[in-house]
Amino acid sequence: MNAPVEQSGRLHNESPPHDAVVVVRGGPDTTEKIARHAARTAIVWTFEGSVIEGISVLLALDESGRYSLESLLASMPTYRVVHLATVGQLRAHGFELSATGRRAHFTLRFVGGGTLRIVDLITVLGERHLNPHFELRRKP
Amino acid sequence: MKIDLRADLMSQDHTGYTWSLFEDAPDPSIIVPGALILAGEEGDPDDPVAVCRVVELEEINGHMVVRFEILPGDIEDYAILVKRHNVTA
Repeated sequence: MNAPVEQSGRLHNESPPHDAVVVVRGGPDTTEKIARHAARTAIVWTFEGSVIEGISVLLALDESGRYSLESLLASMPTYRVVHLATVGQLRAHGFELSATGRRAHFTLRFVGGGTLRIVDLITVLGERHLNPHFELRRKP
Repeated sequence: MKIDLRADLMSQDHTGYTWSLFEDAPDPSIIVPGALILAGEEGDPDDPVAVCRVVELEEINGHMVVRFEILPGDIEDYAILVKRHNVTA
């Protein structure tokens, strides 16, 4: 049986993102959905030897180009709605971000874990925002 | 619309592919490399669904990881193509 994949040696080379950077999470999110997504991650990944509890997000790392907020939203045309927060808002609530996957993808980790943390995360992620690129895709 | 693989379409691992678990497929027999599937979430009208191609399967920690790529367009686009060319399975 293959062991869970340790992520600490696989992080993409990224400076810690500034507090003002926007975090994009495809929606709509619910407590149940986040718990289910986090459970998958916990099965197959570890971070520094410990189980990862977290979900996937994208960070708008640049002002323009492929990793700008506009481009990230355009890369998510299957999402009618998204949730938007800032790195600073998440850090203020004790969430951590690890640069897993390829550039712009991060795992938003629930330090401490548990359902209460997920409820807290739902609050920080806030309301649904329409992704304008979902609508654009469907215009003739 | 019933999906073939429940998945977080934002997920991504070191390969760059989106991934989920084999056990999240209602009918695992269709989850084979090369297969076209519908992946995403269901239950909320705003849930994302995408046409995807299964790339590979890998056993990790006693579970089968399914890696797939999200294809452009939505299922209606593919239905139009199939209808135009009168394709039957």
